[in-house]
Amino acid sequence: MKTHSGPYLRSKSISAMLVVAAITGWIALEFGDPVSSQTPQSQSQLIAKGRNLFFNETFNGNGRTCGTCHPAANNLTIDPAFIAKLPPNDPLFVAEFVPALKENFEKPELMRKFGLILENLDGFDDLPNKFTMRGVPHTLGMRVSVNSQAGPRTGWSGDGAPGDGSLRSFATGAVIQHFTKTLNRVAGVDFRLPTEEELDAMEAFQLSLGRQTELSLPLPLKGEVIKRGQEIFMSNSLGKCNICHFNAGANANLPGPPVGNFNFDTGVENLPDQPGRLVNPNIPRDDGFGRPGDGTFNTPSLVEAADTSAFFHNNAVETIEGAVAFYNGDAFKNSPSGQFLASLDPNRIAIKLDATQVVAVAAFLRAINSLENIRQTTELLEFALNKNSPDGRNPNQLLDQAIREAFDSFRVLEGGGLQPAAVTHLKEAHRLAEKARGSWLSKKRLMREAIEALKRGREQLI
Amino acid sequence: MRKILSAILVTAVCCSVVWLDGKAVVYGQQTTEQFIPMGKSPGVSGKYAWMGEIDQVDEQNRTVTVKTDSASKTIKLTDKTRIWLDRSKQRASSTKADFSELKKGRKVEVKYVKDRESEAEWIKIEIAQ
Repeated sequence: MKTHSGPYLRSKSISAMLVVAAITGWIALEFGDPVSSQTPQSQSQLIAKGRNLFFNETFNGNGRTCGTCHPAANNLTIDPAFIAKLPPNDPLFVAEFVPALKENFEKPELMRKFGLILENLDGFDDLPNKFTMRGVPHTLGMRVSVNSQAGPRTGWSGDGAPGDGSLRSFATGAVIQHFTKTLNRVAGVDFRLPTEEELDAMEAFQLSLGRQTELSLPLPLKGEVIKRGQEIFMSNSLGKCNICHFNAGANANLPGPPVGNFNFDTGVENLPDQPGRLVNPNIPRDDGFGRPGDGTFNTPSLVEAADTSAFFHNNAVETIEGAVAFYNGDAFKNSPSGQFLASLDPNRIAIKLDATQVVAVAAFLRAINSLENIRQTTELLEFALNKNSPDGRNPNQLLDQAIREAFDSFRVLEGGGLQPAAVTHLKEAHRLAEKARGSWLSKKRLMREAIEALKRGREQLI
Repeated sequence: MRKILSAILVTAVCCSVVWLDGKAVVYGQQTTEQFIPMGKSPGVSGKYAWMGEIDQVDEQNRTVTVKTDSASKTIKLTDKTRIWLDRSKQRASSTKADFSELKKGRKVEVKYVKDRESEAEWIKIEIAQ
């Protein structure tokens, strides 16, 4: 039977096909497969494996993972504010609910109040009396902060890893120290040791975190106080900061070939009224590198400092301004490093900065931290847009991290009352990234708009 | 003048750093090393350490001769050499030990001092039973 519906149906079919094609095209644009990967697939897979191990693997221990103390949600470190939000059964608190770990494994009050972790760096033969209480260093920018002429420097005193002392071996020592079910610390009973392949993967992941290159100071920064802070930082006769923190990193700036990361005795252990010792005056003195220690501690990078407080190996100082002011005090002045600097100064002064100068140096550190946050946020958003995560994260996971970085980008500026115009743009970037996280239809557009807001914020800083 | 002072400062700090660095011995975190079973030390076992069975012990000269699969090696112990009993096969905690625990027939892993292969940085003694 002949009908008259042929052309009508054809037209309807074409329309339907067009609609389907349009929807398919939009879906492909919005949720399509990765266009390309900037990282070789094998390396990408290794990093993804390392990420999974770092945040999820307990090594058959007490339930802790590397991420227990280095959470992605808190710049890979812990502080009292973060700790306060954790549930009481979080594995960080195993000393509070596992009977075998009740004594001599952690000091729960010091952990909760100051984010301090117990370490047996001078041996395990006298647990009640031989221990140190240390803050948790972030694991950002390790590609540019671990190597030295004398070998790899890991942890607060530079000697944090067993075996060959490398970043790769660090996880083995961490499992033994922090993951154990009992204080017997028997491999195969209280935990299992990471395999060679797992160590490779976790090293690759840690090296992928944060900055991959050093800054190159001076930067063409904006803002009078920030600019002055950079000048003081770089001056070898005033701030003298750039000598040990070259380019605001963790490496020393000395004549001759690059020397990398170094240890110094700056007298932090001699600070009066250290928060931890106000609670527990019997905390043993931390003797730093080696056994017995030589009193020196590892130089941390400063680019990431402003959003990873507290400061120094014992979390002695809470604010970045306080950390800069430390170098004015008697503890530094009387330390080997301070006395040495003074011996070279025409006026026998180690470092002497007035309040305005302290704040200026801190403002500079806040600004470069914000710039690093902006760089990371932009990169994460671009990875999410292009779906080419170098470590296997999906766009929403990348967005979650971007939101946290965007938040830090304005928080560090606001904390110092700096660059309000930049803060406005960065807050907008944060708002757009959050909105993108919850959006299905406009995710890409919102991410692009967030990147534009980040650019505007950056232009107020540099 | 300022430039000269800066140069002096930087050079002096450099010397200080080199002095500090030279003074310190790089151990790695030796403390957790105690609990790593023989042959499992990351980046060390099979590379800067070897395993074998004690053949001779010279208490007077504080040396130990160890038979490995391929050779017989004599290693000197110093005040800095650390000795541990590896009791992981007994599912028990490893403990510190002293020279008297180095006995003929015992299996050991020896980590030698970097650039001084005849000197032991640490020795792990297997206690299997």
